Amino acid sequence: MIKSLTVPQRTRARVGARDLLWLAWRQHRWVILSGAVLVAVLCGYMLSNEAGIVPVTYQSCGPLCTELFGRFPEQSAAADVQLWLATGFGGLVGVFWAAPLVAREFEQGTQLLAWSQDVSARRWLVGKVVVLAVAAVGFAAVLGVVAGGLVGRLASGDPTFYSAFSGTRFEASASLQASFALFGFALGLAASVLLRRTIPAMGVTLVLFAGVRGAVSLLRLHYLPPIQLLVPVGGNTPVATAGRVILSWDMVNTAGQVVTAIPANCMLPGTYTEAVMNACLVRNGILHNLVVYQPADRLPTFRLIETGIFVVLAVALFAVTWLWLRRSTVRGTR
Amino acid sequence: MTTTEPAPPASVPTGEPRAVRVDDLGKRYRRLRAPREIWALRHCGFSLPAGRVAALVGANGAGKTTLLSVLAGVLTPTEGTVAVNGIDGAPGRVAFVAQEKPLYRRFNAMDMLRFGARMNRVWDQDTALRWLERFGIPLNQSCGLLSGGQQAQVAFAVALGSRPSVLLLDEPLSNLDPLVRREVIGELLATVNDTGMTLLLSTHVVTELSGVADHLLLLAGGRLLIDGDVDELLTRHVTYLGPRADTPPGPGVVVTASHTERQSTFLVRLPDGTPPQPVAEPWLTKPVTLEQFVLAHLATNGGR
Repeated sequence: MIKSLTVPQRTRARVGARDLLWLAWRQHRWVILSGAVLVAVLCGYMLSNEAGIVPVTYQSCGPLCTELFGRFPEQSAAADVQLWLATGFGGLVGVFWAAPLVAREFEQGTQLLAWSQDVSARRWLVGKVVVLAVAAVGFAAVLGVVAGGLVGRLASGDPTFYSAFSGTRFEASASLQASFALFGFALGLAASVLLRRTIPAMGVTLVLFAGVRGAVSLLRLHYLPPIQLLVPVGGNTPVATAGRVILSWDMVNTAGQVVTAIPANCMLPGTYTEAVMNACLVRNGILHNLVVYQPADRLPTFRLIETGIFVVLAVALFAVTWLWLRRSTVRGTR
Repeated sequence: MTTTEPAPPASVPTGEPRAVRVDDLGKRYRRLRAPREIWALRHCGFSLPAGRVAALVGANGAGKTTLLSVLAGVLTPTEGTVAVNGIDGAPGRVAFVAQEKPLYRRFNAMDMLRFGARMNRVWDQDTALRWLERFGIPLNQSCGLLSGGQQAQVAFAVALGSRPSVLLLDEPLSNLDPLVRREVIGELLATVNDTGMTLLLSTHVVTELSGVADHLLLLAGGRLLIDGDVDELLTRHVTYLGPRADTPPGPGVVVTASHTERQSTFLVRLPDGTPPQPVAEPWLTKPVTLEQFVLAHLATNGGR
């Protein structure tokens, strides 16, 4: 204060970026710090999960049953919860960080304070977005890395039936989590600026975030055309490698047509083994299975594609917010 | 009461520097229910003399806050232009204190000054601090815990610290007790004198305007009815007081007339360029006060 008293009036050409960042940090530091605590707790929770280290074999299972079902890794239920929490972080960012960001200022009238200084509404908003979105994306990436580690351990405990493309396991990546957080933030911000009410903005953000995430996850297995493979009945299936996802597995007759039902003469009562069934199918002219699948090595590509989808959606939402704000406020010069 | 057409704008001395020029300003709000659109402000044009105090008066809903928000740059006008000139050729800078005196609740007064210093190109910490000390505002208490009057003082301190060329105050006195009102007005007038700043304040408290405002803007129903120098406006109006009558005893256009059983009062706008003429007994001629002038015009326009 003493210093400022000796310099009665200070003039400069422009309000600096550091000043905008200062305001955003000063206003939202507790939100950011509580987010950091939440992320740290979640990371600790995931790191403490020993899933996959000790595979379990169900004692009551026969050999086939064990092959099919008996190798779900221990604590995968807890891991599922943890992965759900981690992948929901982007939604939390949208609902609790971005949706109140501008709406609360409108409710308290403080946007009038902020916008009537020597800073345009848009620059003011950019300051907030930079501070909060960078923090959100960083936190989400950390969660993605830790969740990815957990999924890696799950996979090592279950090499045969583990699918890298299923739900939260697919999403356990730093880039995807970061893009979810960016999208959640952009969505919450757009709702905040357009609706100008905190609770409605939070509600709309929650619904749209869940809806878009769900809708995009339905497309996930079709980002690239799946590989189609004809496998001789009873032959080895080269697709049974860890991490792949099988979209369909159909019987094909000699004419190359898909046969949906097992022929009736193979359904006679009696003791069946795989060999008996296969022999019966071959007698009925079903020589091959058509396996449609996405191989495990496409995982990074698919994650990149989905990351791209959410980044594009986020950029579009930021653009809408920007244009809307420009329309409703004046003074491009500040 | 008799209703007549509003007074034309009083002529302003040409050549006097202008702090604000507004041309054909309009603001339309769109709504979901009928009426689908409302013009809160329409065909509004005026200019404010630099270094003076202008009062913006009008009933609730007349468009005062809309006009100030547009001038402050926090609201885009639907049509028209605003130009703000600075002092001594510098670029114009506007500071605005909204009616609710918004502050960040978790900031204390010192934080708010830091905010002002960082968010403005020009900052005068000395002026801002002096204002807070002058009115005894606790510096380390969260603004959310300050009284309404104290919050207003913090908002004024931030606005004055930014050394604007034009200061817009929306209902600045509404949260203040009468004694503090007078002090605040005095300090603001001193600042206007010292810095060459132009002050535009909106108010309901018409009684407080006498001796404060040099220039008057009167809004009704989103239209600018009066725009002129206060002294000129007042010298061009006169009150006639006398026995019950249907017409005033002298020349001029009746702005308002009120009658009791035995007495009539006319507020009259005199024909251009004529001083008040003496009138025959028992009529009395009285000068019009700013309060009477404003209330008469507000009443004439149905309060809107």
